[in-house]
Amino acid sequence: MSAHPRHPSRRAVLTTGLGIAALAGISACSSDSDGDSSTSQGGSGGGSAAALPAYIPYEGVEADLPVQDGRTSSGFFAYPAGPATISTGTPGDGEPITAMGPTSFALPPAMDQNAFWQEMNERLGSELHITLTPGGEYDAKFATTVAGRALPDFFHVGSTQSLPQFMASEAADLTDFLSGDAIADYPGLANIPTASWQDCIFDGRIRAIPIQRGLVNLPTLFARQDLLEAAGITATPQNFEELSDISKELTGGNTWAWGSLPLAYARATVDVPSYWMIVDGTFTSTLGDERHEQALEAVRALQDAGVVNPDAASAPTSTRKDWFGAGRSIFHEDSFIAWFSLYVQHGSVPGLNIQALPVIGFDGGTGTQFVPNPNYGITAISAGSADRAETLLRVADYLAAPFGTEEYLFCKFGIDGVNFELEGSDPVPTDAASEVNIGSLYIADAARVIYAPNREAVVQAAWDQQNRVTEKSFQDPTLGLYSETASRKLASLEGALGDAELDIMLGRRPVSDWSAAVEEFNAGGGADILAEYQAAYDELQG
Amino acid sequence: MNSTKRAARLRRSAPLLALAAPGVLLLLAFQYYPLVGNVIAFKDYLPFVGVWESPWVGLENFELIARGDRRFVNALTNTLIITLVQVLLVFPVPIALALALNSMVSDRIKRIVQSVLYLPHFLSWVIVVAVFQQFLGGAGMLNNFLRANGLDTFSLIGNADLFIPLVTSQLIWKDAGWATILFLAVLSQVDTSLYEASTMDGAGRFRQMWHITLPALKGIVILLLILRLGDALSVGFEQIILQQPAVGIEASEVLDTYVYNAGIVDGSWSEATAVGLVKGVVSVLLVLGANKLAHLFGEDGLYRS
Amino acid sequence: MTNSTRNVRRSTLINGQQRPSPVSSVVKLLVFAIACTLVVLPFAAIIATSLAPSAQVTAAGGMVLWPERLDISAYQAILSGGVVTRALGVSGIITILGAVLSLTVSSMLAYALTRSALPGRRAITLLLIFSLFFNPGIIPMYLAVQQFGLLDSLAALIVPTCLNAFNVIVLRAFFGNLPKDVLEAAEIDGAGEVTMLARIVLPLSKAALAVIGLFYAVGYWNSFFSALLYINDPKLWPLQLVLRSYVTNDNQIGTADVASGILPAQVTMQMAILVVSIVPIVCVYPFLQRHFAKGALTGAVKG
Repeated sequence: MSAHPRHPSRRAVLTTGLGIAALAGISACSSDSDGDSSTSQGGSGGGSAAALPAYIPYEGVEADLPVQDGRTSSGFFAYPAGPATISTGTPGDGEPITAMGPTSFALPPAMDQNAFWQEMNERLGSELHITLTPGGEYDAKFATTVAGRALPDFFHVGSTQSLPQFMASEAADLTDFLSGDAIADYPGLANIPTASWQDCIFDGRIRAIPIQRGLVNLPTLFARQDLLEAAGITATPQNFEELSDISKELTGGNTWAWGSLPLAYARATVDVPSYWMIVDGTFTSTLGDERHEQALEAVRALQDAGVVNPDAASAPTSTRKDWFGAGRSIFHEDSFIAWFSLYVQHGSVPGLNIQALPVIGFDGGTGTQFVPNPNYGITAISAGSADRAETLLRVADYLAAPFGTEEYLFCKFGIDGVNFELEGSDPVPTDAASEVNIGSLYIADAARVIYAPNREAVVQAAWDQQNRVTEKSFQDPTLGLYSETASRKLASLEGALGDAELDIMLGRRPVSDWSAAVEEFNAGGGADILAEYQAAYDELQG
Repeated sequence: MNSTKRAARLRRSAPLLALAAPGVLLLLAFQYYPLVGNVIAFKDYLPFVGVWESPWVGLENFELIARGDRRFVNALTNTLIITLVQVLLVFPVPIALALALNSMVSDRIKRIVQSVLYLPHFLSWVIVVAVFQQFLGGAGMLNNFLRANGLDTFSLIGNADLFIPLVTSQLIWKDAGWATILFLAVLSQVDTSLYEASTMDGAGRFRQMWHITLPALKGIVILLLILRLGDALSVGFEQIILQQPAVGIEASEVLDTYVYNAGIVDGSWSEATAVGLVKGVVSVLLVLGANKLAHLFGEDGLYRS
Repeated sequence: MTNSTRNVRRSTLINGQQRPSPVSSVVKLLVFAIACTLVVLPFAAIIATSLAPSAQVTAAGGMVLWPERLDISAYQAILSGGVVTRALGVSGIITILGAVLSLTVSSMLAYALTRSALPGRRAITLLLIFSLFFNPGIIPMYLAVQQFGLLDSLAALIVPTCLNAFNVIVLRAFFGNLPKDVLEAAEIDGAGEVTMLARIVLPLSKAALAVIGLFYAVGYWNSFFSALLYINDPKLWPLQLVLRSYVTNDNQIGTADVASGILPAQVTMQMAILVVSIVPIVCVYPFLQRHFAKGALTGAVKG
């Protein structure tokens, strides 16, 4: 699996009840032994490599908390009053536009009963037909649609092997429209930071637009501050031992400090938050580093001390969120963006105060925050619709209108008085809010900001957290690089390594087994992947 | 005489063919025709390239099962053990339930019990696993209650030693009630006058069961047993993979999860198909063998040759 | 057996069988009571959780055994907007049409397979059995459905899964077990094959037809994957697929700044969805149950 479409872990997929059926149809398997196909395909230029699109931030609104490249998203305490309209005319050409993508929302009312959808068609000047598929099953839908040569105008790029060849054959070349300053014609798309576009370059050509998330993707450790204070714990732990001591204090009866085994956090405390690293221009694997064993040992000790929920290994994320909300766990690992949804989800909990922990160093000081791929995924325009590319890009641009514009308010919240009502300048969803979930935001989406109405303190804390943890952080080095072996084997290799990690943390195997698991990983394809990433990296630099 | 018989036979075969035709056509169109697509087992198939355009790679995709490493052997062993346990412990439960229900005096109780026991079949494995976790998990209702009262907790879920009992009890819970339906239908076709006749002959309940009820069930039981044997290599993929993290690979890896973990998760259509083909061939051999065996014992089995 | 002898002992028999001893009756009742409790308890928890207020569910950290007060907001969330109601209709149509069609095709084939006059009987039987163990896979299936022009139609949800080999094999076993003398008598009377199927075999096999019909109906009711692959128009989505979209919860997308509305607790939603999706099909069962009554054959054979 490449750095491309984000995939939840295989079991995360399974435990949300998704993905299974796809397999039922297959009933079995894969691996590629002789490494024939292991040449790097990413960014192999040949022709003239396209310049990445310029980043032209929208300047119509002033953020309460500023965006800093690579350090913070912009933060807003309220939606800007009297938002400006930035589009002129209708982007569409009157012909229907088809699209397909995953969704994680309940299905919206059909077009003929959906005021928002009708208004969207009106505004775009084209009827928008979107085929939605529940997120976990999207890859199956995508593969069959590709096999049946039935790709619509827009498609979210699902999981596939040999992605560069796929894109070259099925996705329209958008370079001429988007490269460099040409993107200025599309102010919404131009508002997406350059880093996100690295994912969209194939063989030197721009063949997709990113669904940007930026720093709201950060893996984050949340704590129930209200419960910590109730337990008389006010100081932030300074090292892992203190964290472990606190955990013991917080555990008792049917409460466990941890709802999951915090391996990701432990690795961040020992400064190896990723399997790969670029050191002085050399792509290196951190797996041989003994700090991984240190992190495993540390989590294993937590497990031994009984401060981790006994069902942690198998509980689905939704259950862990419930534990956290119910105060049955005090610490919760999640994505940064969950900060706000956790507040919404557990709104009924009196005095709820969620804070994010800094990344502490194992023996004090500061650990290293991992900064993942900045995109949720990428959307391509079908090669068959290349002649309409300009129109389609204008539609995508409309859907990506920046935060603070009238278009954004419409795309995300719907029609004033129908799907939302204004409270001050903030939109408050009405009962008809689900009309908005037509899936347009999986075609193209605005650059993300930190915004939650009426939660100024949380927005401030969230922005501060980004600012704090990115000081010593580490960007996913595979961003914009492609390895064919990774696309064919990485998921199973990581799965096997993950199984070993779990066995070790739960005490089923000794920590010393880790090195054997790493050897298997490298022999099974890990070494090839490393070499391919190196080659792709060199090509990009040179 | 012979020729008129043949003519009569022919007159019967035409309408029979017509009766069979729709089913056979469906079978050919939606089973065997798409099955041709399984040639991708011998190719490096990529959906955007196409079935026929993808390059041939010979038997490369079969390597996953052919290499027979330690993990594979472990998975195969676990699979066969679980199959054996299920045939011995799970398979007879619905039969026993059906017999017990069949001999109930009260029709009302019988109906209520039936209607309740078949409900769990409608829950997906995700839900069944979650429900077991909620009730019996380490942080589940039962253990929380025990802990709150200062009692020892008991660990069924997340205990590698009890994994097979766990999946077995889940399977019984979910499907035993549902499976009784088939046996009850068979029992409903037993001619009740047979019982009356045997009662006149002074037969007791056990003799009635032995000589009338069980023989009535024999055909369907053997048929289902043969089909289950054909599926010997498949044991509850979804059920097991959902619970793997809790107990670890060593205790819980079965053939289907092995193949999934080692390959499918990477999205290789060709290897998935290759393994499917091998399993299909093994299944067919097992079924044909079991059928032969049934014939040796004088039973009809799946079909008469 | 004469009528007089039949009447003599009737009081001690249930449908001809000897009455079980009191001890074994008590044991059986006890076993059934335990089994039913083990089933009812989780279902009670499922229903209770679906009706419990979010705050209680959150505080419990999962399922609850009793709702503090009735809260139907999860059901309101599911049933608002008309999407689920329409999907219920779609599922209903697929289930009824599908089950009738499947049962028709399957009994015709199953009956033909019981008759020795059917040419190629053994070959067809083997085709059926082999199909149980070879799965075409989702891409070839999609391509076939596409080539037959069924994409984006309700037929795509019925036709490809119309024939289930297992069900045909079981049905054939039932038909094959019918008393030979009845069929032979009809044959001598000059009845054609279609008449024999319609007038004799089917009426005598009500229990089998009820069971196999239920198997098919439940299959159609629960299926969502063919709809996922073959149907782009959400108006044709069946219930199970629509409901699936309510329980997907993906952090990466993050709903905080999107007007998706505030849904009740995830567990509550999940349980409400479960109730909505299984209640309709569960209601079918009692209507079929009477066909399992014993002695359905007795009169026909002897009478």
